[in-house]
Amino acid sequence: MLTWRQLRGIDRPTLFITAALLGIGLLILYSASFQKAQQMGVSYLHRQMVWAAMGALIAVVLVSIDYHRWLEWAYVAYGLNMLLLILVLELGVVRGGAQRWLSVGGLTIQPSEFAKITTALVLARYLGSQRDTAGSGWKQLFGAGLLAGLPMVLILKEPNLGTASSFIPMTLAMLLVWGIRMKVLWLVVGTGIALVPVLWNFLADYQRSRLMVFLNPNLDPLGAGYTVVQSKVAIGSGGWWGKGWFGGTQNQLNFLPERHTDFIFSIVGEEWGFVGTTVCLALFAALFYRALLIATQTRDPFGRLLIVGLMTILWFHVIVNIGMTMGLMPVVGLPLPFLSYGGSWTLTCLVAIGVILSVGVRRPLYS
Amino acid sequence: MIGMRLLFLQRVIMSALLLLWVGLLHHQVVEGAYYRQKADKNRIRLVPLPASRGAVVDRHGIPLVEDQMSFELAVFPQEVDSPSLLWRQLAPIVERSTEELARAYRRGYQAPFAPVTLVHNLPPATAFLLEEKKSELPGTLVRPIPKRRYLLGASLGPVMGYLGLISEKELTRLKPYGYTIRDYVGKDGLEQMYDPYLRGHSGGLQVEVDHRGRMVRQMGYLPPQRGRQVRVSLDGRLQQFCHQLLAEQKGAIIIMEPRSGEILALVSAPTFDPNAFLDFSRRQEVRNYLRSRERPMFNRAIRSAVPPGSTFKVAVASEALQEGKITGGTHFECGGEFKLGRSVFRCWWDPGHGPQDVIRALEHSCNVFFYNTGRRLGPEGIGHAAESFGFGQKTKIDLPREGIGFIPNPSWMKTAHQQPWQEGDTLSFAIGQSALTATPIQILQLFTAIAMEGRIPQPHLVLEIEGERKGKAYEVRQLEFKKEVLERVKAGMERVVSSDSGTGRLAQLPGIPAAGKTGTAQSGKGQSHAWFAGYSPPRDPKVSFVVFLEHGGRGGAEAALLVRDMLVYLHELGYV
Repeated sequence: MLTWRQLRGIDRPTLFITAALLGIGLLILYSASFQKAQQMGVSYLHRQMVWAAMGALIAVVLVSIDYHRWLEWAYVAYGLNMLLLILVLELGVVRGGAQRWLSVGGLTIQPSEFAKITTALVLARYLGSQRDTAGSGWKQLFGAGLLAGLPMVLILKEPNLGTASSFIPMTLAMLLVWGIRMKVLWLVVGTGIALVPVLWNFLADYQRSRLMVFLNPNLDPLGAGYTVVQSKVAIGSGGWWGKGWFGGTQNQLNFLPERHTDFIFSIVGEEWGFVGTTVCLALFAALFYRALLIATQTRDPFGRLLIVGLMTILWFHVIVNIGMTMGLMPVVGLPLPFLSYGGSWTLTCLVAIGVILSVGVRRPLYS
Repeated sequence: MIGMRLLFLQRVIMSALLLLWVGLLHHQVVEGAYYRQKADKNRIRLVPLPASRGAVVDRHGIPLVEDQMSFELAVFPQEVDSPSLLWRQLAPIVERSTEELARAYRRGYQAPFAPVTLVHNLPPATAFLLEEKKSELPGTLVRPIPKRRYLLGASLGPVMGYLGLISEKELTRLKPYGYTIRDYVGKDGLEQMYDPYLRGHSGGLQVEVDHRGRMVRQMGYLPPQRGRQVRVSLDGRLQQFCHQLLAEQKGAIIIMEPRSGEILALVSAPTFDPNAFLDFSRRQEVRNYLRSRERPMFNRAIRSAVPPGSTFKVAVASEALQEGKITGGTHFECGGEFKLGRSVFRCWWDPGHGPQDVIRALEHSCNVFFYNTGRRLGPEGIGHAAESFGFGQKTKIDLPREGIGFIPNPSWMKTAHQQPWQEGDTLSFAIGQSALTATPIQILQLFTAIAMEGRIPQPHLVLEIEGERKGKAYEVRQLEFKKEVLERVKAGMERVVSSDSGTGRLAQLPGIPAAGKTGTAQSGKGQSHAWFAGYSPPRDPKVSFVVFLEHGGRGGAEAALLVRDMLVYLHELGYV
């Protein structure tokens, strides 16, 4: 268990940043979902608060228990998660043409979100126990590829291109920090890029059209491109200072669909302007900085790999989500950490923070 | 080594975030204004509110045309839950079929917030009934709408013109002046000529709409501005009287105050009722107007270019006297015909008029006298006469599409007909035939010039625009004549009516003296055109007039009789 000394050494900036991002998320969610809440009697705000509280509780548990325990159970958790993903494909709830949710009791959960955690866990376990960094690393690359590839294929079948693709940077970052030869890494990245046209053929029509529309949203301004066009207008029209909380016309007049989930950042941009988006971006940068600092300070390769994996996956979500709201990235349905509404996603983010902090409190403090 | 790898990872991560931040800076700050505009365009809509058009009143201030409030039934699409149910409820009240209502709705639908007009011209009783039942008929709206009414109907047709939806061509030309695709504009007559003054400025409602186009709130209101009132020189009663005078006859009548150039009446027949163009139920009538071979849309008074016949002798006589080609003492013997080489040119009076001086020749409209005079003047001299009195040019009356007519000359004859100008052409030219054509308003101008000692005011209709007098805007031209020229011509014209052997004696009235000249012009097939132009009283004229009957018989008969009735009414109204 946790000693008092360890608890005092908890990374306070990370705690503060997480709280700040959650707070911003709740405020903007209030503005974005207020009308819907009134019309449908469903308060996204309250639900999200419950999820955040639950996530915080889990994070506390995670911090207090040594993360090596979790690593011991990594393969089991990973295996169970894979089973859930298969279950989703068999009897999942279909929403918006995709089968991503499992209904458990009154709740619907998204096992693909949790797969991000369990895969990071299993990769950390696998790579951490491979001490032979003198070799070329082809073997480890293959092993990590298999471990990450299984959930990717299952998630791709849902279909959910965005989540599936988020496993790639995570695996690459973990391999990098594990110590794979740079030559091998570059070769993999290069081959991956070269394979993009081949992968194109494996995409579903809607995914292709999304990518096409990403390249030119005006192709279909009322169909697939509508959200991007409206989101660009929302962010851009915020200007320096924004139109004020509850003052965004794109938001309040309902021009922006999905604004409480994937496009929440558009509302930040519209109502709080460049100042608001800069604050958010700065908070994310600070969060990743702290995570990397902890990764540098810890002497435990397992802990380091775990942090790098989880941090990279959060970072990838930030880049793709914000890029997507500005029309710089394809609309692939990746939520924004801490800000986007969603139970499974919020829990996932807070679990990641819990694990990072858990590594943090157990790093040597004298360095 | 691990430290290096972490540093590398950190750089990748931070650079990506930095790039994203630069992207935000560009998107929000650099392009912010552009997106702001787009966001506003997204949410702000304009509902135009039509302005009522300015009224047109006659010289005494009596309205000729005005916008009256008419009720129409409209619905707010965003507040109608079940259109088909509403049509069934409304159908018996407004006496329309549900299909008609549904069709009107489909045709008029623009946006959820924009009211759609279902029924125009509701009878007031129905309007009040609907207003009472408003709570049972959600989304309905009875609103007063300005509707243009031409109070004198068809008698003002060609003068007022009519209104129609702006055409594509007009829109390209008028867009800079604030005209829009839904505007009704004047298509002819005064409505067209003074459209910029009459139309007023449309107002509008600025509304904020949500993503489905439903109105969320009203943002701004710009009240429509009524168009300006135009006072014209017409006398409504006289106008109607002249309209009835022509009855079934094709032709035109113009009456003018010769000193100022103010038009008192201007009618053309057959005519059209401008009200029909604003009434959807009368569209068949409109189609007939546009297709009819009688050409009711054609304003004969200012557009019809026809041979002036003997009325033109007035111009020839003046020119010949002025140029000294003849004098008061010049006599020509009329034996009923005039021999030129082997051809014979006849006078209209076979027995012949005997010896004629210029006064007698005008009185009798003697062709032989004018054949001789014409030969002395030559085609150039006659052409000069026509030109100086304003033939072949617009009189610049304030109506669109005025005709100009044509003055023939030898060189035109050579180019157009590949044959030289013959002596015979000069003879017919001198009696207002040949290829010479003129519009009724040009003939009126000729007679006004004689009546007013060479003074030619620009004929016009508009006196003032909402208090702003236009009088000074019109030009006056002065022709110089020797004193005896006009004395003799006017004496001749006076005898046309007053003498018992004058060609216009049928217009003779005790106590209402007039002077004038008849004309009977041959024109292709059919009956001759009948002319009578003149002024009254002969000394110090108060009115000048022209009557033109297209294929209407003889100037001394049919036209003179009309003039007679017209003079009686003018006297009744106190003009003469």
